[in-house]
Amino acid sequence: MVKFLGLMALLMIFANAVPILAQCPICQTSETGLCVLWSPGYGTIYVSTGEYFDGLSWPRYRQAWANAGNNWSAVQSHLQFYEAYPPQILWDNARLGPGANDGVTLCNWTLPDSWYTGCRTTINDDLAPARSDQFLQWLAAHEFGHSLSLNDSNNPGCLCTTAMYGFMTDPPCITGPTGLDVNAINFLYQ
Amino acid sequence: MEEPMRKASLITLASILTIGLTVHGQSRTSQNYDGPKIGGTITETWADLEDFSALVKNSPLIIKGKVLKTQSRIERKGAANEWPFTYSDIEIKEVYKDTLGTNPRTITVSQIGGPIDGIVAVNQRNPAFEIGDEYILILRPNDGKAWVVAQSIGRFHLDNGRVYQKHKSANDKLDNGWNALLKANGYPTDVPEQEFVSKIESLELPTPNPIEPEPNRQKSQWLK
Repeated sequence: MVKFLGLMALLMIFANAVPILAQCPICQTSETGLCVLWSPGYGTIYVSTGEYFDGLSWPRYRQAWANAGNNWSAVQSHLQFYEAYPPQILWDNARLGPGANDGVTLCNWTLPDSWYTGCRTTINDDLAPARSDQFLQWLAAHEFGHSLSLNDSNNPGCLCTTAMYGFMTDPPCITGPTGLDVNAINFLYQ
Repeated sequence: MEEPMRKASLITLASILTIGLTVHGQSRTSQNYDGPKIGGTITETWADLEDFSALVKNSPLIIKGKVLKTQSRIERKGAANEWPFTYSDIEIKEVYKDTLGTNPRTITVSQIGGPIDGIVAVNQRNPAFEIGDEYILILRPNDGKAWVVAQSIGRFHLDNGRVYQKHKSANDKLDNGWNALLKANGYPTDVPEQEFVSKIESLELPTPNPIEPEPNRQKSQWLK
C-alpha cells in the first residue's frame, strides 16, 4: 500500500512538473495553450489551398506549400501533410496591399458563424509575385510552423537558426525547419 | 518501515502542493482576465526587418494622434480568405513627417484582427487600437486604402509623457526576444516623448552635401 501510494505520488509529481520545467530552446518558442488546435500526433494534417489563386501564381504558391508540407512531414515520421478538403490548414492569398505584410496566419478563430476554425494563412498577393521561390518556401514553412503551434522567435541572432524567426531576408538563409524546430516539434508532440 | 512511510508521506504532500499550486495558478489566470473572449491568434511576417532608421525613412507619414473611433468587420465574409480587420479613426495632434503632403486632420488606420461580436482575433504584434489611447504612428499608404502601421511595428503608445512600443501594458510582457530585437535594431521604447521625437527628427533632417550643395534643395518636408 505504501509502495503504491509512493508510486502514485511520484507519477503525479512527474505529470505536473514536466510541463512546468520543460523549456523550448532559446531560438524557438511554443505557444501551447494559445494556438493549439489539434494534435499532429494523430498523424495526418490536411492542407488545402484556397480558391483564389490565379493561373500565373498558382504553380509557385502551390509548390511552396507542398515543399513546406514535405519538410515538416520529415520532422516526425507520424507527422504527415496531405492535400484534402476541408483542410486543417488553409493556404490562401489575398490582396492585402503593398504596405501590408508578406504573410499572416490566424489560428483557432472561433466565431459562431465562421465556416472555418482551423489555421488559415494568407500570403499577400501584392508582394508575393516579386518574392523569390525560396522566400515563398520559407514563408510557407514559417506559417505552417504557426499552424503547428510554434510562435515567432525574435531573439537577435536566431534569423537563420529557426524557421520561426519573425522576419526573413529575400533570398532567405533557410527555407525550412531546422534542428531547433525539430526539437520544438518533438517537445510539443512527443 | 518508518522510513519508507515518511518518504511516501513527503512525496504525497509534495504532489498535493504541486497540483494545488498548478490549479491555483490556472484559476487565478482565468479569473483575472475580464476582457473580451479571445477567439484566435494572429501572427504577421515580412521580408526584411527594417531597423528604426529605415522604418522612419521609408514611411511618408509620421504623426501623433488619438484614437477617436474603431470599427471591426470581416472582409470577404463567407469566402475562403475572409479576414477580420479593424479600422480606427485617428485625430491628429502633431505631424512629424508628411512627404505626400496629405496634411491630414484625421486619418484611418487599418489593422488585421480585432473584436468581432465580442470575440477577439488577437494580433500579437499589432493589437487593435482602443478608443482614447494616444500613439505616435509611423505609417505606410496601402494602395489607396487606409493607412497601415509600418511593418506592424511603427506604433508607439503614449502614456504620461513616455513612449512605449506597442502599448505600455504590453511592455513588460514583450517576450520571445522582442525587447532584444527592438534594442538591436535601434527601436526606442519606454523613453520620454521628447527624446523619441528628437530621434525621429534627427533621422529625417536633410543631410548637407559638402561636395556639391544644392541651391534649390526643396524645403524640409518637416511640418514642425
